Amino acid sequence: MKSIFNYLSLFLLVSISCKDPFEPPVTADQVNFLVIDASMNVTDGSASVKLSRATKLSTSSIFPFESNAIVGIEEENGQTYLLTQAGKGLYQMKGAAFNLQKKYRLKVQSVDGNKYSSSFIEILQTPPIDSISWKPSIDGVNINVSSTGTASASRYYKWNYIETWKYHSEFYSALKIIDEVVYSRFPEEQIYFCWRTTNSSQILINSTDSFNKNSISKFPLIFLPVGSEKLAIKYSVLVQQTSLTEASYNFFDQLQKTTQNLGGLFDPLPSKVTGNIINENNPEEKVLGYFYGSSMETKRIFISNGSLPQSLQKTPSKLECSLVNVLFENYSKRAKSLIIIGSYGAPFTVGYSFSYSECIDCRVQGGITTEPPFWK
Amino acid sequence: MAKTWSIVFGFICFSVSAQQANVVTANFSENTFFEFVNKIEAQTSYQFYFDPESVDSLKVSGDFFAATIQTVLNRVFEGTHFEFSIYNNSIFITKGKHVYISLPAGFLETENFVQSTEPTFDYSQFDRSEKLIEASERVYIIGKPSPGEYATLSGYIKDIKSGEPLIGSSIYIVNPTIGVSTDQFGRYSLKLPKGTHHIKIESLGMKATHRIVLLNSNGNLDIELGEDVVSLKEVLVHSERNEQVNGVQMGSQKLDIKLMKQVPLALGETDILKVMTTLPGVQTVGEGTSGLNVRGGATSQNLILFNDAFIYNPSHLFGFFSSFNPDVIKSVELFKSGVTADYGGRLSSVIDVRSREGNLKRFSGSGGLSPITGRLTLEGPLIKDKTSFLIGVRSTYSDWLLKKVANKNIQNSTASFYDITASLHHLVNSKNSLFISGYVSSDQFKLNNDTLYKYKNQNISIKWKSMINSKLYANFISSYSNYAFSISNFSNPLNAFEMNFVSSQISIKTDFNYSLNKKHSLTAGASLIRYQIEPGNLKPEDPRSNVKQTTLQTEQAFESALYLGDNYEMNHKISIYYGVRYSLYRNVGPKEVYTYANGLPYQVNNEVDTLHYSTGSTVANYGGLEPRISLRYILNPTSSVKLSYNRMRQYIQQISNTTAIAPTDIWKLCDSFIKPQIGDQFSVGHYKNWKGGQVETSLEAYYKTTENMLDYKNGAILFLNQHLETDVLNGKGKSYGIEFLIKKSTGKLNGWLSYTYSRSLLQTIGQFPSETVNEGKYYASNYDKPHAVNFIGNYKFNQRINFSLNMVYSTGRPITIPIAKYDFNGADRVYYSERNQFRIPDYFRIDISFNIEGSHKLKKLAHSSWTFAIYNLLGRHNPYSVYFANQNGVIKGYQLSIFAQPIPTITYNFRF
Repeated sequence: MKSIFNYLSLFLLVSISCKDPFEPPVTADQVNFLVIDASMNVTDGSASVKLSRATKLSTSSIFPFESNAIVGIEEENGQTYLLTQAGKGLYQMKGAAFNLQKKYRLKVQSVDGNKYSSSFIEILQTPPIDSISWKPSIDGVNINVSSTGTASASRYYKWNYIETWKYHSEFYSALKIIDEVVYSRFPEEQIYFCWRTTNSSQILINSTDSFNKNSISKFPLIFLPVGSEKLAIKYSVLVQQTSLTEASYNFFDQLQKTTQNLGGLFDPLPSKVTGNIINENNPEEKVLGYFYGSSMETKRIFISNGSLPQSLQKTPSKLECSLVNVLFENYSKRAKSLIIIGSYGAPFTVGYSFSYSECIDCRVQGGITTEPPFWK
Repeated sequence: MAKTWSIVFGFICFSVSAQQANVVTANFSENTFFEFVNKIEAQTSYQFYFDPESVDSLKVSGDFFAATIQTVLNRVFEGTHFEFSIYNNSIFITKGKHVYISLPAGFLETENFVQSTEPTFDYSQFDRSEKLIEASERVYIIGKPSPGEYATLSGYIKDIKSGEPLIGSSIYIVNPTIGVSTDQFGRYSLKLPKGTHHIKIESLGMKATHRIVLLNSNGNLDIELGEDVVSLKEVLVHSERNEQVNGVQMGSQKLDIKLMKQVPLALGETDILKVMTTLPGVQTVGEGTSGLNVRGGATSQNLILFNDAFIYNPSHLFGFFSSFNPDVIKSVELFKSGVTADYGGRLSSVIDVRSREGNLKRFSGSGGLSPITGRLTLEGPLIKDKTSFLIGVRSTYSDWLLKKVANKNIQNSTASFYDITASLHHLVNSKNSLFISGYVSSDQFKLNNDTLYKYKNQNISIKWKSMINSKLYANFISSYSNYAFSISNFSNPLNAFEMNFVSSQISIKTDFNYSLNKKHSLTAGASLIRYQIEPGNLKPEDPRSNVKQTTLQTEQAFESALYLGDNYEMNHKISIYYGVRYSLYRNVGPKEVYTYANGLPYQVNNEVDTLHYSTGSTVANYGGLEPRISLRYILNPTSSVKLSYNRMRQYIQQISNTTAIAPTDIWKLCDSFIKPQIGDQFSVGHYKNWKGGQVETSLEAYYKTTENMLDYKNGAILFLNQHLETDVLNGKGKSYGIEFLIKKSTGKLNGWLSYTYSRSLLQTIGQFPSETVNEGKYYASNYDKPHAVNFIGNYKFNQRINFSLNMVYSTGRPITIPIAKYDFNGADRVYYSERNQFRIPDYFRIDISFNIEGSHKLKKLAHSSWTFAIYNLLGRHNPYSVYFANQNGVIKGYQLSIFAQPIPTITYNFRF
């Protein structure tokens, strides 16, 4: 809220103020902190832990991942569940019999022998999602979540979502080339329709502390601007709702604040956000990240292009795609970067049509050609 | 002493007793005029009378052997604007004018017509001062002959034109040297041996005068002084010169509004708080922010008094303007150390702002227009020489300006303010007077039709001054201060809300001042303040709104104090002020106080019980002694050293975890968790005058500690917090520094240069990690700027054109910045450094301004002046803040400069 003062004072002086780049004076070694992003879900007994390292602000966003660590979740006065390495710095498990009544903590042993552990966390029962609603406006579509918890349930909510949308490339390719020989594509080899899936990256939290009822009414989660590729054919989102303890809510709240613009005179003093994980061998070491867990409530909705108001049915602006026609005799000289679409020439076929891969292969834009099982 | 220094009408007289033949034998080569005068006076019986300031650049060369004084002076002044007149053994040196030593022909209407070879004197020039001369030639007989050796003469010194008391005027006799200055009411009390005295009176901006008094017993003499249009600066020096070296007070600066009006400012309006930041030891966190940091103290540790009433928020429009209308201000006094026992309640400083009293003689007005504001002040007598009023109004047209900006968001924003100052001054009789002052300042702003912010100061004070007898006078002051802000948003009916905060205080205070004898002057008094704070009230503003009504419990407390002080002139060299203040604070019910589990941090989850206090019962009790000591030791007539120690207690705190204070920062009374702040300061200083007081220097050092300074947990929530104790921490503060000031107040060129080295550090160690900041190490406060250099220079081309130059340099303020980034919860996050580990780049700025006065014809209907100023002449990009923004997944750091280019302004001022 304080940033509003800053904002307005800047407005008043908009014509005379000025901004210049600023680089913090630190070296890469000083900021090589271990980052632990860990959560557990008692509903399906899954857990996911991501280990990486922090970098300087000015380096590009590739974070060194931490492989070959031993990662486990320990039940208070109980067993330890080990996670398996599933990717670059990613450790996972599924189907464990976690107990809502118990407390758990994260244990990590890195390759360099350091042992890290979180504090024991409480596992909360998450209230169900009442509805995921969407509402068109002039600029796009707003997607909101509503939920009602019991008075005794946690008043702190956190959401993640997984978006999936169907789209297609500019040209349909009916042919393929294998070892310089042209074949027809089978239906399962189509590269025209794709489904792309992304995870939410924002911290979406809310508290009903200042409300009479423990109810969330149409909390805005996602905004899809008009002309978005996501709305071109059909869009789906799976919203995952979890409950937070007050401590974990405060952690995410602080983290969210530090992600906003800071440093103005009327902004709160920015601060180090302290997580709940320490290095057992060296408590002085700064460990970034957090471990939290609860049951998880999910809900999925679909929005097809046809269900949108006319003004929002606008298709996204396309890449500039052109066809390149090549005669049979010149076939071997075709550019390597091109993909075959089909034959051309009428009534007699005289050659093949090619175009750029991004105009033909929808996978170039990050999707997959297999329809997800939930799609309808 | 071989030489006696005396001051007559602004001229300095060098008198030498040696008697010799009146011829000169000397050799001068680029000697100063002073050296020249000394030599001539040593060889002859002549005495020189001249204005030292006018000759400071004059060099004398020449070889004389048994030359007459006329020959010598003709040679010396050949080709210069200087003229000389010789009358008996006196030589008057003047610049551009001639002193006529005989009366015009026929003036005395004698029959014997005297033919004079000298040009004659134009008597009409003296018309105006006739009345004053008459008064100065009269012999005043005070009282009837009475036994005893000494008697006390007291009274007021006033402006003859407006009837306003003249504060800090000097009244003295030369032989033996006995003198005093008038106090804040223009009152003086001078103890003299009985008999006839030639009493001299000088005051800032006024024509110096004298009175011949035959003192028989204790008695009264009120003196009126005429305004000195010509030699304002000259007289100003003399009165301050005495104060700087001879006064016991150290670490104080008194600024006159006339001087402050010459300093160039960003938005074309004189701002007393901004001028203060050019003094050594006074800092601010950035341009366009409100609040001063005095000697490493927080902005809320300043006792800002406007006519004795406390001002909670001294700024308008985010701090771009101070909330004091420059047209109604008379003077501002800043005490950084050596605070006397009559002030209390804040740790760092006292900023005592006084408004003028309305003109007792005639109606007049003044006003001005600057790029953002307009102001008008009217004043005049209600009953001539008895009752006067003054009312000043200032407002802004910034709303109109915002509408002109070609940006939809800005057009939908509003920002406006106004302030009104009104006062009534009534002279009940010669011994009693009444002063009533009222003040309102109000601000409101709204961003893009969104949230509306309002804040308001309201003050009233009533002061009764009474002279009980010639040795004792008293003040009775009652004041009320109120500060309120609100935040509201009605744009979405489901969330529509309004949030209010109100803090108010009522106080009564009495001061007695008793001149016990020539050596002791006693002060004593008592005060009582009742505080009431409504820390927050959030209410839904629409029947559909889901906002829960939240009202934090009202806090109330009493602060009472008793004080006693003695100004003791031990001997010629040593003067001591010692005083003590005893303050007692009681936070009273009704109140509910949470208690927390023993041995656990104050956290909501550790709450165990609630204690209920009934109305009037004591919730928390604090108090203690606050000793104040100052000592002055005169080394020689032009230099002295001073020492002081003072302890202060503060029972009300401002809760703010932003770098600059925001209008929506709440105030909090000390309670069972939040303890009063205690500050101790030791300071030592050396003061010296050079060139006969034209140049003065001071060097002061201080060391200051603060107990129970508020600090905040990382990510603290301060708004509508039912249990604020869970988010605040008690820290320790430590600051120290050296301040150097060189100041030239006279001459065409005047101004000052200051350098300050200072540190301001905080330390917060709690029982638990969550209560410890930066691992318990001392860290720099937000306003720790080790090096600061300020220069203010004025050059007066002539009576109408004045040029000012202002230069400011300081180390950049500390900041907490992100130093690393990492991947968490699906996005890049930033990791912050230790608190205040880094600094923004250094600050440097130059401003200039020209003041052009209208003609000085006294009979003119209205006087006007224009000020042309350029702020940040070099257009340097001085960082105001550093911030980081996530742009397409890349975190980029930026430093923001507010006034990043030269800003020209024109201001028009008038008075009638």
